[in-house]
Amino acid sequence: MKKQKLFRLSSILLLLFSDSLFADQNEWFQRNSWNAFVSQTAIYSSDYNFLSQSDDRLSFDLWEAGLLVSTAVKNKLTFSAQVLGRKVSESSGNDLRIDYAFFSYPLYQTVNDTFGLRLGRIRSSYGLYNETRDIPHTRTGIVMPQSMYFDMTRNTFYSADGIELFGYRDFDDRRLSAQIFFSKPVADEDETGEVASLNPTNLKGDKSLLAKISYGSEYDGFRTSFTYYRPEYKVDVSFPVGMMTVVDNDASFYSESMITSLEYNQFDWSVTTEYLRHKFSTNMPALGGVPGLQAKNIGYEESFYIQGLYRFSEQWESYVRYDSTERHVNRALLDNEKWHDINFGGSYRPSENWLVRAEVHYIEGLARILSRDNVTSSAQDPYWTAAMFQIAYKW
Amino acid sequence: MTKLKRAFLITVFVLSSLLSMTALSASLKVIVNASVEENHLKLKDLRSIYTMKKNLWSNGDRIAVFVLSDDNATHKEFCRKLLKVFPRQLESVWYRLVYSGTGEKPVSVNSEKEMIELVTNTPGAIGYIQSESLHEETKVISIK
Repeated sequence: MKKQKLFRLSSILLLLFSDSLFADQNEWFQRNSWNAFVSQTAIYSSDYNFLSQSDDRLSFDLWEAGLLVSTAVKNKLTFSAQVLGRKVSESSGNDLRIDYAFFSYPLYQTVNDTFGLRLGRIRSSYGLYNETRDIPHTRTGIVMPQSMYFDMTRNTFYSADGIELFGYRDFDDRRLSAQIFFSKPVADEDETGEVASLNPTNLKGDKSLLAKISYGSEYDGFRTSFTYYRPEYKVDVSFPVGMMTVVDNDASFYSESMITSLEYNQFDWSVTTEYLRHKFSTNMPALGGVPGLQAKNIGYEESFYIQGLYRFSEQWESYVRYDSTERHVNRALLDNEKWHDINFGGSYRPSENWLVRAEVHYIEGLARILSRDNVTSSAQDPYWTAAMFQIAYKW
Repeated sequence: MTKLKRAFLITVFVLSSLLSMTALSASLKVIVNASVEENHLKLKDLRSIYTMKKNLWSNGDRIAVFVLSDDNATHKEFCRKLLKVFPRQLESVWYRLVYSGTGEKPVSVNSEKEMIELVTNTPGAIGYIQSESLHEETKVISIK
């Protein structure tokens, strides 16, 4: 029965995506493309588990693989979808999810202007790199700057179900673009382990707004962007306060990010910097009745990174990055409230499809390690190192 | 005298290398399908087309972009000398579009012969070659 279903599904897909059957531009399912990538990373870290079980041992836990399909459904209506498999945490295990699946249609299009909409599960395109953060061939380095593109809650903030309006105007090879995305976030229950002390359950996306404006060229001269992103969630929590346990089935929180990005590209070098002001707000009405505590709590953190890349040749690149995050508090920062990461590395591309990378991190702080994979205490060393090696292939 | 001779020989070698590179660039041709009305393009427009941003000709027809494979010498020449970009950088731009689901990459062909055939037979097509053997229906456009 399963085989029959699989055969039927395969037949339908084969019919839908067969170019030879639909040769006319006005016909259905034109310009179909399949793309895929896979990467395997080896990590060794000195004192903590960093994106794998790598504390004082060589870990091969971290892997990622993606399969993408894209097609012009009819005339200008296109459909794109990507399934992503990855593992970054022992407790979350091997994760397989539909990263995005959306229709896109240009409502108005001239030689230089386009205005359109997207509908479905869409990537939250904050900053310069969130949309393509998982594909080794489109990013700099094995690990994205954790200050901004955090892996600890990647899925929760990554894509959302909704509608996006987008528009752009081209000025020669420079593009001015704007987009606004109204959605319901896709919550990842595994990632609630980052606040395990609250015993969170039943995490649900509530509503989200993302607005972004950008200008420039991706490979010659400046490009800049500003992103505002505010996803809101509902969650049930239960945690001890003194001798009693507070249970709140009406708790909520939101994350508000404002990201300013600037990149300068030349033929053989690039410099990128992004600055994030991050506000995090929780609302637990049940705490309103507890003496000395308040229902609403707000926290802030500031993050930035600056990164330089040099291209020695078509095969060889080298990069160096300083990545920083600090919480805003009126006292000395705790180790888990800061993250200062100096890292450098190199990549080699023996062919169009293969990519090999190696990089080293020297880190102060614990703000971006996965709480669900680490038990930390104030007695532990906040200075630690990580070395990693990655091999990737794309089709 | 020996030093002068060596300096002269090095200068001649460098100049001849530069001249031969210029000659190689000069033989690179951007070709389009006969349906394309444009007779010349600004370099910025060509860059915009090959980064898959500009996707319509001035008459509203869709631009079909063809490229030679990544390791082809003509492709490397086209990227480095004409577009002033490493092939890998251009590829990164395409893959950012593809993997975000917001755009397409060009159609890759294996040889200049195939490039000529496809550009000749695809309305709105654009490509590039170095060979002299052009099909009579293929149009060469100048880049300013």
